[in-house]
Amino acid sequence: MSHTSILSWVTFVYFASFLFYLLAMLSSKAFWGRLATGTALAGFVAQTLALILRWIASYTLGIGHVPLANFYESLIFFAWAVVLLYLLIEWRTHNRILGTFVVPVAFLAMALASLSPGIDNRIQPLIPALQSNWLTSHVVTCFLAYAAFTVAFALGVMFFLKEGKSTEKKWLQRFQELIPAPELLDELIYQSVVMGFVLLTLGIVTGSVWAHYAWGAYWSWDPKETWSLITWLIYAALLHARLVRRWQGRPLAFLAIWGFAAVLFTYFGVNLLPGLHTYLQP
Amino acid sequence: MSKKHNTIWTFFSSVKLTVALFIAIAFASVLGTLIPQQEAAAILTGRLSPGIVQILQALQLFNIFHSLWFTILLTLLCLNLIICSLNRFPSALRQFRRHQSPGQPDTPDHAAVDKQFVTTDPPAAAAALLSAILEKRYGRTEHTSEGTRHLLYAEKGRFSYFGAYIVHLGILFILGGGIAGFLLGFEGYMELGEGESTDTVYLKGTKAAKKLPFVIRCDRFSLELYDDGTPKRYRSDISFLKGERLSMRGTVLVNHPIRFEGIRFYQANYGTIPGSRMTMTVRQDKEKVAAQMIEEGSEFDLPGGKARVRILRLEGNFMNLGPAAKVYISSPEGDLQFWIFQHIASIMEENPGLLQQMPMMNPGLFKPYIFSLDPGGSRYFTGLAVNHDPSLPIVTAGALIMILGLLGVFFYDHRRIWISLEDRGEGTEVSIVGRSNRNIAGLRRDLDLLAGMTEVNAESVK
Repeated sequence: MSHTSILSWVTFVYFASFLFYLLAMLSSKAFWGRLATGTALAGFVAQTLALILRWIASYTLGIGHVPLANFYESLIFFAWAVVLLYLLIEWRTHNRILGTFVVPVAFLAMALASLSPGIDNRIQPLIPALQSNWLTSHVVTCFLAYAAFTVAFALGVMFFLKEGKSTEKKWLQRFQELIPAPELLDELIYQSVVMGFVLLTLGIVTGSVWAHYAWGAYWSWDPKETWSLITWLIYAALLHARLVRRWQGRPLAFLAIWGFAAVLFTYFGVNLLPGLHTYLQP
Repeated sequence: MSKKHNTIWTFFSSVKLTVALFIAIAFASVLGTLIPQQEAAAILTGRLSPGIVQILQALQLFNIFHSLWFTILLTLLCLNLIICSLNRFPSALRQFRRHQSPGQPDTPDHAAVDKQFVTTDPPAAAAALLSAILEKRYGRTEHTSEGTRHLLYAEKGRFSYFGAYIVHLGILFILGGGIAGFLLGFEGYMELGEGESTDTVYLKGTKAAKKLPFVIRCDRFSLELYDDGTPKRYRSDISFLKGERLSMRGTVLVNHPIRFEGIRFYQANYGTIPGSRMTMTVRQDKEKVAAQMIEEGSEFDLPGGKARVRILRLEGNFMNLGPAAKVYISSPEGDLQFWIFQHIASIMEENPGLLQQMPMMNPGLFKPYIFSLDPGGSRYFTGLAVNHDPSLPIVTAGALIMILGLLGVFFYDHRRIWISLEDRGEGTEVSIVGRSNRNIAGLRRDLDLLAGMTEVNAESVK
């Protein structure tokens, strides 16, 4: 089976895993929870394998490079990082509720990569601007940061569901019962934002070093650079609010959600804006 | 300390201002990406009415990131950063220097975890056990005892109080270095055809010409493609000349700039100069025997090596008859010069008998060869970004300082643990008090570990 068809299958595996997490939450039967984790893990292993196969395939084509070089590969890596981070958190906290909120994001990224007709899933040779040792460190740090911010976003959504008004709807009541205490959510939001913030800082710095070598300016207010700064500022505001002003709960959840909106715009929205850099369009 | 009550000082030392500035800078940045900036603004300004354009220009909305008000926002952030740090630094230093005694735990604050329980171990044994764990995880542990009462104290990560200041220092380096680079350095661009040389750079934005103290020459530009046609490598071979003397030769590739006298040259783009070169083809009995890219002054040998061709002139449109080259042929049989026209076929069609009247226009004058001129062989030019930034080391240092500081802020905390053990007859009462300046989860793990080691023997847990 080729790496692209494995990756198409992984999309459905993550969707199944999401359904099982949801069932586990609604039915409170341990069986569904274990099945959900098992499915997510199976998908993750298959995806890792597919990434390795794709990497090898690029060398067979004579244009060997890490599978982190185009939009398709970035989406796949993003989903991979999200699931990796989620599984680590589940393993550390022994809590599966977060899965219902995080795994669908990985599924959506995979679905966009696999099903969107506009996204080329072929292995493409590296254009000169991408032929740099900074490619791997820059992409890996940025997308691990995005994954951490995705988790923070999911926790923020959970926070507002938990804090929401009492409701007649049975399923929502059940959600509110199962979502952990706001204090724990707050702590987890803080920890994932810290991880994301440090990684994003590293991502911006490695990107600047790369821009220095490729374009001659470590910072040129290119839309992508500017939006990464906007994202960085939002999370910096969150961390100051928490560490200096001791804000907790609601404002943090609020900023975690807005921060994620900025992440999404940095990732997707910037493509709609005019950029000035040569070589970006081959 | 009257300055502490100064209103300006209070204003700049507030974290509310920091967050407000973050929001303002973020908002300005959003505008900067939505409104086309600098060169890109021309299309938009063409569509808007002059009045609106004037207002937008007065607000510097077409060059936000270099505008006065954006610079003011960044300056305010710097001031805020400096004053906040100065304001809080003394208390951080106090925290750092404070000596804590084993017997008196701090009053509980937001990051406190307390545990109390009774174990069957005698106090001395339990104290030894806990002290060993603390030694291993926290380093030096103070251990005092008064009769049957044992007191332990250990701590780690005192320097974590400085993490935030280190981050701020790094950011000041980056912002200061960035502004210094903007003022003292330059960013420019040059285009050089193969074989051409220049000492002039055109500055970004203003397009003003700037002279360099040396001459740079493009010896060759080459473009390599992958099998599918995507570009694989752009390469410029360039030489640097001081006066007439060659100082350095080198290659510029994308991602691999070259540096000469503190100025960096980057492969930015490339293009072709159309029609700037011609190809001269030489045939003998309809067989192609030579084909040569030519320019004025270039020379080549004819087969056999006896005759040599020199291009005296190359004209784009000679006598209104299109491109033509004047050649000079030196051979043992004597020298000869004549014109070669690209469109000789159509010229002869329109003017039959021309060659008899004007032998100088006969492409077969030097027998047995027939010369022809073809367009093509267009020359490449290379586009080089030319930058000079004397403050680069400061910015680099700033980035490293900032990363180190961030690790200090987020991965270290000042963690302190007090343990008291007292004989209560039926067992030893253990009381563990933990404090951390930020990592409550990590502190809880440590206390769980400490309690877990003794609670094995515990009778009751409070």
